[in-house]
Amino acid sequence: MTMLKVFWTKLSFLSRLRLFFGAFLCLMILVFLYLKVVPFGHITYTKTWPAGLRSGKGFIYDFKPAERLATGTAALRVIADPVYFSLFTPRRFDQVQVTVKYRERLGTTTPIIELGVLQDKIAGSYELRPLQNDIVDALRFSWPRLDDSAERLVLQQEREYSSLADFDADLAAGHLRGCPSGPAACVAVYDYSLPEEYRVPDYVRLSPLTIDQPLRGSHQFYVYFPSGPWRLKFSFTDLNQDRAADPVTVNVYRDGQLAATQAFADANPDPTGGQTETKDLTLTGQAASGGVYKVEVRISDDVVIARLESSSEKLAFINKIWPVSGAGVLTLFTDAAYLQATAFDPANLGSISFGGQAFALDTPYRQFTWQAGPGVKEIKLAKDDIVLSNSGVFAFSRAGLFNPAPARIDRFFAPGGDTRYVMAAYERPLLEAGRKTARASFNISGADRDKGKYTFLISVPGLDGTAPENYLDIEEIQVELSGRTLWQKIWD
Amino acid sequence: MAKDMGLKSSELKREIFYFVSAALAAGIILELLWPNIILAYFNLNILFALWLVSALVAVWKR
Repeated sequence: MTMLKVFWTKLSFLSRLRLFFGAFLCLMILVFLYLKVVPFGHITYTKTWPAGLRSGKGFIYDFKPAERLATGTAALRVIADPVYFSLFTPRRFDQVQVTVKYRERLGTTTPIIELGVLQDKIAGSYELRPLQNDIVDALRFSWPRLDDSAERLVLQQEREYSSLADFDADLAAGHLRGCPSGPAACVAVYDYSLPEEYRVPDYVRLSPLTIDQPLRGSHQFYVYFPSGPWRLKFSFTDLNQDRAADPVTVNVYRDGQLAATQAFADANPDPTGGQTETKDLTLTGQAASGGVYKVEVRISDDVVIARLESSSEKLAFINKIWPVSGAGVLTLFTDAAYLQATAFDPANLGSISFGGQAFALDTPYRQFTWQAGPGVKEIKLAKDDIVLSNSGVFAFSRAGLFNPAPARIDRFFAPGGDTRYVMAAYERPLLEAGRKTARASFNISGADRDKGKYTFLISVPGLDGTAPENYLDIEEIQVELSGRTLWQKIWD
Repeated sequence: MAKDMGLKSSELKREIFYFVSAALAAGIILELLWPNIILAYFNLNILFALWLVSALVAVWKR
């Protein structure tokens, strides 16, 4: 200490000043390196509205598209669905918990607010988590509660069960009280999954199926394979309309476990000629017992599934189907009570028959929503190249249509009917002085991170910007990131 | 005060200019190595403006 004092007193003022400036600069560099490395694996970033005095760009930014946001408001006002934003992180993390503080004036037609993170950029798939679901919140107070823990909410329409253990035992055994057709027929879920118990009796002979109708972009479908060998054959056509690589991945799941997978990278990642390329892919396996397989085809919108062959005709596309061919009239079947349709080419506009009613698809790039009654309904398209979506399944034949998943509580859900139980992994937002606080957690270890940025979306299904009195005002977004520590990175 | 410590005003201005130059260079290098590491917290344009002012002050002669 004395030596340091002697050293300091011997220095000229100029040298002391230089030493001070140098030490300050080194300290600042070390602080920024610490913030870059995040050695303890935990960091929190916050964005508030109104923004206040801030010099830096921040970590949560790039809210778009601008036409879905109102200007001149103190908060971030969302007037149409969905709105995307970026989260910059200096390194990769494994988990994120997002806390959103907001006020809303949403009508009964927009009861749901969700937050999503982009998991797969090529397929454009977002993992969505609930922030608010007014339908579940209303049922929470009108239906008897069987379980209301942090993990799940279980509601029953009638007091069939007084013990949660009895309910869980019956659910595991596949028969709930008041559900003669099985749990999938009378349980409605929200952000919750049930084991798929769908069975086709062994005496029913399932024929092979060939779908020649080209389908564009990523698709998911259920296929029921009886016991024995199964086979799926795909023919893909890479349209090469963009100059990006178009890899193809097909994953087959049974009971949530990966049963088979095949993938190939794009051999021509920077096409210039616009010539199409054809690629074939075959997956095979052996089913020990009959059951439902979920197939995930992850491709970009520049790739078309030109032909699909399956060893079973029980095949239904989940939530979305995008037929493209220009061949003319096409008939499909769906089990959902509503249909959403979007056409991108004005040449494909026209009338769509859904459940026996004709609906006009008269504006390109606009998603139309039409409702019909319950049960299986026929869809007739005069022209294809139209994206069809809903919360149910689509099939090319009435016999092939099946849906092993329980009903999902979306904005079109109406309590009653066949639904006797509700299961949800959802906590309602905290309300404090008119402001709500909701949280959503995601595993982002495999999420898409492009140039250091994760992409998120805020979704209010049904909010289309046509009613200015309906909006979502976001006042704060806080992200708590956690991942491996520096020591784990070095030693593991 | 600087005069009391044996430092001319012009020398002090020059030292400040050197410090801001070094800080700006460090900021730019860090940004080139790891984009957004500085910009997320601090706008380098402010440092650049400060560097410009310090340079003008350092060369200014009455």
